[in-house]
Amino acid sequence: MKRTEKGRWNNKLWVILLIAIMTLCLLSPLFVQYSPTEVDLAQVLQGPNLHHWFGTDSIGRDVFSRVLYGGVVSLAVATVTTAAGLMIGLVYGGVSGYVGGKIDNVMMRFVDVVCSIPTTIIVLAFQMLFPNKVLGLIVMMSLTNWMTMARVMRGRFMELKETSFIILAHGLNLPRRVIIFRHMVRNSLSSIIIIATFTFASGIVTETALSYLGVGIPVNIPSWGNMISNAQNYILTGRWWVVLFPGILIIVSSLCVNFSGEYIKNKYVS
Amino acid sequence: MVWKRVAAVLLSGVMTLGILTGCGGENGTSSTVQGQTSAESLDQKDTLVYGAEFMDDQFNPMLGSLYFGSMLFRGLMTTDENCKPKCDIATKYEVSDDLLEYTFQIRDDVKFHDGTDLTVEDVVFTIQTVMDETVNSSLREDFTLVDKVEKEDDTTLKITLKEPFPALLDKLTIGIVPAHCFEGQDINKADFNQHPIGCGPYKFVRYETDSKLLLTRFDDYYGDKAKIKNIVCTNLPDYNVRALQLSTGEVDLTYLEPSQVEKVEQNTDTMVYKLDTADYRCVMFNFKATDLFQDVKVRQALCYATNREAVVNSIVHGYGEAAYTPLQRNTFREEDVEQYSYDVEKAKALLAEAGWKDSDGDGVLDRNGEKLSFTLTAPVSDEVRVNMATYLAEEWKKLGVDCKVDALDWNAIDIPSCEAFVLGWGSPFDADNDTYRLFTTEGSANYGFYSNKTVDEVLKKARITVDQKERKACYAEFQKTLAEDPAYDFICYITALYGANNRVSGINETKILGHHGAGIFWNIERWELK
Amino acid sequence: MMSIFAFALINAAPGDPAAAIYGGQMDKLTQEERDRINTNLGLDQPVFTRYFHWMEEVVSGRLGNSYANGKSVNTILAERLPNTLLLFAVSFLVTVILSMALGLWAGLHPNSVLDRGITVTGIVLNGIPGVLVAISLIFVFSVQLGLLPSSGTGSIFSGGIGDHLRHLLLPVVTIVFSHVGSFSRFIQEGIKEEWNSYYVTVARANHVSRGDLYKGVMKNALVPFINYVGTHVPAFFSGFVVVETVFAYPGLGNMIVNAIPIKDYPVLMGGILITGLVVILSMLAVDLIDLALNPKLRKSVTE
Repeated sequence: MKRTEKGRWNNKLWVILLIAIMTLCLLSPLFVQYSPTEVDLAQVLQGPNLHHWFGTDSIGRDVFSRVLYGGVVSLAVATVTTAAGLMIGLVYGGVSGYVGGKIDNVMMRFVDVVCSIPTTIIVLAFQMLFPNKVLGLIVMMSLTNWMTMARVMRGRFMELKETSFIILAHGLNLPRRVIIFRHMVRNSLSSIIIIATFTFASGIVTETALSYLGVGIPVNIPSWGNMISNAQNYILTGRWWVVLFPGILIIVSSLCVNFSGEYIKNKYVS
Repeated sequence: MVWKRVAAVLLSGVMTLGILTGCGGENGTSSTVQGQTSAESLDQKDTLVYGAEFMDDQFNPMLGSLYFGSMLFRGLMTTDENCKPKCDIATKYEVSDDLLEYTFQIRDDVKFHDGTDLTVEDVVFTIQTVMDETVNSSLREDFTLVDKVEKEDDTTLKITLKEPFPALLDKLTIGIVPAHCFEGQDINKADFNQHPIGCGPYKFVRYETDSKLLLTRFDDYYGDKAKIKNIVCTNLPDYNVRALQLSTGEVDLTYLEPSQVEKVEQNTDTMVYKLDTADYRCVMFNFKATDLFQDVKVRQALCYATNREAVVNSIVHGYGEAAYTPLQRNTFREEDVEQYSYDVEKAKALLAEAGWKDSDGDGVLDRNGEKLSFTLTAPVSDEVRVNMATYLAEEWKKLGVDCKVDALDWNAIDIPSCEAFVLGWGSPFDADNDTYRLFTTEGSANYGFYSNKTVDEVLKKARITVDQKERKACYAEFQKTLAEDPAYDFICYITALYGANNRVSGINETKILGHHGAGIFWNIERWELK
Repeated sequence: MMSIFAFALINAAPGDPAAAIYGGQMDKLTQEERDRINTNLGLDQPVFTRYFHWMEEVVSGRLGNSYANGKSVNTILAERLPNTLLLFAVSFLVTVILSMALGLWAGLHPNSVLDRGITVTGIVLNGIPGVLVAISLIFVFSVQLGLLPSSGTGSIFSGGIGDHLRHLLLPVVTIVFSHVGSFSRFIQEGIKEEWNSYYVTVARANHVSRGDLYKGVMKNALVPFINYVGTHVPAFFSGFVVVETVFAYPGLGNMIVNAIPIKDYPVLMGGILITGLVVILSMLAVDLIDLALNPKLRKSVTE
């Protein structure tokens, strides 16, 4: 598939944008004027103005700082769950693909089965069992996003197993650890990164959805999801700024990640 | 191999069928619908649609107070626009000199929705049932001072009290039910509870659980026949949906949140009724769940650190008034009490006096190794309460108090086990309502386990004192003591905000309403649809 | 193909994995609610007995009563299930048909405006959370334009098919929005791959007619598409949870979301069980369609 020069440049733009957003969020404590939890009853529900660039919410908290802090939280949750899911998937799929045979069959059947359960419902249902909601959210999200990675890794490992250089490595009696890590994993790096990006994107979306429903990040920690939690009220009463800014950032970050994924896919995969 | 697949499909099918047909077996009580209205043909022109924040799950007025009670039921007494008791089914009453015997004459033209006549036996039955200990009635406490209820003749009944009880007339607004509906039945589980029969201006047609309640005009009502033919009460717990449906015309009347008023008023088809209430919000201190509040200085400090004016102006958008006593909207209001005006320095000083200081520099006060830290719970669906809780937590943080806000669903909240809770109460009627059961040590609604001997004595005395001046003095002492030894950190009274479609008329704007704006339907039979 | 059978069997058997997981947790769950009214589970029995009891009850159709209002879970499910099924059926059909149309056209006309458009919009739409789509739709159509109702399944006064469709419209549009992007892109890329494959080049060299060529390519691209669709059915149901809540649509998703904060376990279990069943049944249905379309598979089945 041909990719025009312009297309490549466009995708690079998204990657840069993503890095920009992340940096902005992480560095936010350095330059925001108001604390994200500071309540100011005199400034309730102000529209965007010089003091509060994104306006204030129903108890006078500055939306701008909340959006940035919320970004840290939402992106952090997505990162951690992606990393964890990646680990699980990598190990599971790797083992399945490497060992092959009956064990592989059984393991893949299990993946099929788990895949057939709607993930949001599971995360919803089990997250309430955890006393620490944030931990519960991270654990449950990690437990439901490893399947694609596992499938892909298994496929990749099975492919690689048959390649000449791996057979050669076996022939040379290289230690298994070296074969797996140095050779097979390194050669699957492109797939790993691509799946990781899409898992990350879906992680952002899932956190948003769950926090919106009230079961994700608890209300006292700002996150993009729970900022739009009261969205309908704010929109209906004409205070669009409380919802618009987190909403835009969610969409933009999600798009950034998706397009970055496309960029990597086009760059590294034929 | 094909059989495996067939087996799989069959198994799934069997399970599904099993579950679904299980429905048929589960429904023990067959639904006997009272009233033969073919309600499918509802015409919007003569139907009022009310968007309710919650629905009653049973319709028996003896078991507890009902949201739509005033549509279906009427009692011996009712309350007028000034919240004073007035005769309804009773035509007149006499009180004996020793104030222990009340003799009531009742009307003879009252009919129940099933066509039978209301007799004295029904009244006697109703009151006796509430007093019966085997019945799970939350109203029993209201009648503890009643000794016996007796029929004198076909239109007269006599209530004998153990001690003088001026609030009795208020309590007799309880809806009367037909005794014959309960013959041989366990009152707690009777079919009546789902298919009620009363004598009010509207009769029950059907209730689709958690969804819609359908009522229709009762033509043989003894008072002014209702002008609106049908009423549909639909369950809309989400206030956004309520406002939205009001703006699209799907709903004619609904309870609004303060933040929605502006938009509703801008809409030319709707208007907002702002009705005074006795409904207040406060932070309840729980004396059992944590011993932080045993020290009165801690509670007083928290009261000083509450900027009530700011809360009224911002969180409730001005639709309210700073609160300092539970009887602020009552004739027995006592203003000469400690009102805890906003004074952060005083609060800090009090805490320091009590021995709290930040010895480890983490920003949280501590004393003898114990941190001044507790959880403040609020119902997540009530935006105003959550905002109050979040605000207070931040405000108290400045004092060094570590207050964590927990916003939970109503069904997940067990108030007696919350360390602190954003509570609300309000009765517009006799001062005994919502004081005795909240603030006495054995009060049935004393969720925080507050206990103060003076308050106990004074409230018990006020209950049985008939002389107005003496009663006023008792309640004055009650309010003073309560202010010095706070059970709650009173925040503010809130105005009931009802959004209504312009076609609805007849809503009374002067009567003071109760908790959550309860009582707006008191003159429902006089409402009209244009 | 073997996988399809094994898959179906494992899922359809009484040892339903969903129930298995929850069965193990039921011990913990009921412990936390010790002060609640007795369930028919018996708190003193070991976990496995309790689990089997529950499975027994389930198979015989008794799912218990809701903690919130004491209603039979069966009744609640019976009220909610048809709504969700309706939503699923309509949105699924619309998504599949729409994406097939778009994807096929784009794939067969590479580098056209539509093709490039779909590539980009596909990614974009996929990235926008359903929540935001739903909220924006409500804002535009219900609040600003006042054209469409924002919640429920039908209004009190009208009722009837037209009204139900109006209420269904926005939720369906939201769900279609979320999935049509990835589905169309899948077909589009599938077609492009097929087009570049060996047999097509051969066919073209042999001057096979355009029409026949198109038909062949489409058929071959459709097979993996149907598989893809099948694996995405659970994702549809995940989406329902949010969409139903935003639109206050009384379906299974809404029921589950409401049961969670109040810890209404019987309703929750019943909901998850039924959702699992519906998902499995729909996946089976997709498999059957696959079987019908794919002669290769059919051959192995009849062995």
